[in-house]
Amino acid sequence: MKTLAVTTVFLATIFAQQRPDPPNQQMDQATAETYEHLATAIIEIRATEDNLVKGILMHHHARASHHLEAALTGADTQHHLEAAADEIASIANEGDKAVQAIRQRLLKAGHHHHTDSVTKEDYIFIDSKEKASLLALAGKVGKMAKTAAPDAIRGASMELGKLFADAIAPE
Amino acid sequence: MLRLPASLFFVTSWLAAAITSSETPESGPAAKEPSRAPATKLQFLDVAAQVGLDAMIFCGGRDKDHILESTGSGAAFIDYDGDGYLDVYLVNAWALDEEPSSVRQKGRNRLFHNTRAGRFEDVTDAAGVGDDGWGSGVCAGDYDGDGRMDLYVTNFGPNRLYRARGDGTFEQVAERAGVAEPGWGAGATFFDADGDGDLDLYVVNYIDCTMDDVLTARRSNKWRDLAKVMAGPFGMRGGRDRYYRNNGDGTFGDATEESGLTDLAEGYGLGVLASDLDNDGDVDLYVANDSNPNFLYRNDGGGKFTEVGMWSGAGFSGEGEAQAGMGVDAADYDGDGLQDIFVSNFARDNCTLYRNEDELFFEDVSAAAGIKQITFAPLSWGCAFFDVDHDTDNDIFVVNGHIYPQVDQFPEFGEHYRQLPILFRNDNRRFTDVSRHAGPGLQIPISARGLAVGDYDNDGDLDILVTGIDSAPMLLRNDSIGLEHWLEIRVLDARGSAAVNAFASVTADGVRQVREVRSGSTYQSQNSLVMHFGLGSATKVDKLTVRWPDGTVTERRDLHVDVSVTITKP
Repeated sequence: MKTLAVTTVFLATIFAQQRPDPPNQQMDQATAETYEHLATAIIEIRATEDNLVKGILMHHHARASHHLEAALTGADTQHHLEAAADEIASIANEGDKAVQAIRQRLLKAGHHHHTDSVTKEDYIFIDSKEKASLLALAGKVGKMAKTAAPDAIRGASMELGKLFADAIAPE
Repeated sequence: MLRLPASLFFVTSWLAAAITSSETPESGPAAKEPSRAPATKLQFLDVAAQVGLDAMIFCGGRDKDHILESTGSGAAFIDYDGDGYLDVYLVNAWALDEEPSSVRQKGRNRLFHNTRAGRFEDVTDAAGVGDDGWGSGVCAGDYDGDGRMDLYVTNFGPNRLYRARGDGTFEQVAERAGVAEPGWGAGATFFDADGDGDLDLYVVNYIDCTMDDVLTARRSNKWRDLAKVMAGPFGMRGGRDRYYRNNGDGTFGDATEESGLTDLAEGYGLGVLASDLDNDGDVDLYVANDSNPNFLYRNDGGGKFTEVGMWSGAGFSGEGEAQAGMGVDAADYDGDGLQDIFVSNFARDNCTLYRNEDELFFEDVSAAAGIKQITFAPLSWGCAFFDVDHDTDNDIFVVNGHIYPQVDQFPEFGEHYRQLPILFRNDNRRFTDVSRHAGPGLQIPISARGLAVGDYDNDGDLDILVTGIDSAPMLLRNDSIGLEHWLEIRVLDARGSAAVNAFASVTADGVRQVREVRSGSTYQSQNSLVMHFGLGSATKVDKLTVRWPDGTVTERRDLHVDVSVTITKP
């Protein structure tokens, strides 16, 4: 989307420059159209980011669920429960550490809605309350790694399902 | 306290047979509640100028246009010449002019030798440790196993490794050793990550930027919509932390990725703690990140680590928020034998006390322990646990100072560039702010950063070394009255160096306490490598157990109090 936006602005600029001595009215119209395109691009970029983050969340949820199920088989339980805890924590943070590094760069462009530590605002999907609940669940699953009672694992799966559904539901 | 001849304090050459086994020191809650002598009066006096610590610590220009000008530099209490007295190493940065921004003066790091007569003399040039890079932090460790403590200095620019020659001089070998990390180094620590008997090195890097960025920076952030202040760290690219494995031949290799220590998040790391937090015999790693979740790397053995901070409870505040970590320390504050973590954070966000629930799970108990409210307003940096009043539990000391000098233009908000330190007294696992009753040394506001704790005058109580921005250091001599008994333990490996990450537990009068020898921690600083225990009214130490980094254990029984002892690994 970023490329699309840049291309739109570039073509519009070239288009505007190629017209010989455009009357003011035409110039205003061209500028407005360009801005219209840019606005569309910006809005699309935002929507694309929303979908991307939703995809990230679904990815971590799927992986967390997989590890919880695998833990129930009794093989390599500690590994699976710790991996599930990690994935749940990534849901809580709307992404893993690599995503966190990208967000820090986005902030330079004024992309502040991710910055919970400064503004204490919510993420795109996960609000502060949901984040705290998900982190608590991640900790609970991590602690299970030593005991790994099947009922507790099933309970954690159900809790994750509910928290995740609430988090990605339209506000 | 009454000063006694040093010879009375040192009971070296303990020849009793060591009990060697793989067992860890016993655990279990303290049997008795700590009891403070009713007549104890805490008293700290700043004697830095009086004793000859006259260095000026620089950090950029007046207006602090770039974040590099805000993070300051640390200090070390280290006995570099092995004479039994703590010397002082001060890390220095540069002074900048404003408009046009340019380098006015490159501050040099300074080494001050303790003359044993209440004075320090500058031996920087003779020792060869006067680096004039833009300095950040320092940690100590005998990386080459020759029985002498070496120094690692982090810089904005290539870091320095000073190898001790054994004659009071050092040789700068960072490039040759492969640890001349070129980024913006902050905290660093030596520790044996892979259990092979030599010290590896972990270096925390803060932000990726250049000196051109620093000199051309303009204040573009708004503080309370009132004053323009420096930008960052948000929007800047975090520096990636590095782990250097000791090759055993005086060189290191970058083993960050293969060890599981890759800093994918590019967190804005400042503080670092290497400590066996789960008492399993290997050393774990905790990184305090500014404005990002903190990292807790569990040592899985064999030099492999797993980052568990996100779900351990120690990566975020209890509310699930990433805080702005600066400094970090760990000690057992509640007498359960497990080391708890203290992290200093930004202004208008409290310092955090994480209670260790065992097996690397932690609970934020800042509010319940009385830390939260008192530390909310200040901007905190160097922090350390120690038993200031000798009542057998760990108290906490934190130094503070804002990063924006512009806050002083609006006194109505009660935020100040120069801030007072906080001394928390541990009252049965709840902390009480006793700062304003702890003597004139604690009533001097500076924009403090570094902090190191140690008994520089060998009088049995712990003194405090503080560095600040654009100011002279403070040496807060502990002149407290009525302190009860104490024990200092110097644990040396077979080659005669401080045994980094050795544990000692002391049982006296039914109270058991633990301490760990540590490289680095607090904020870019190095505490004394001598372990100090307050003993309350106990008149003898029933049992002392040292767990060496290789898991073997040495025990001593029926020790005198009010002495310093040296235990050497058999």
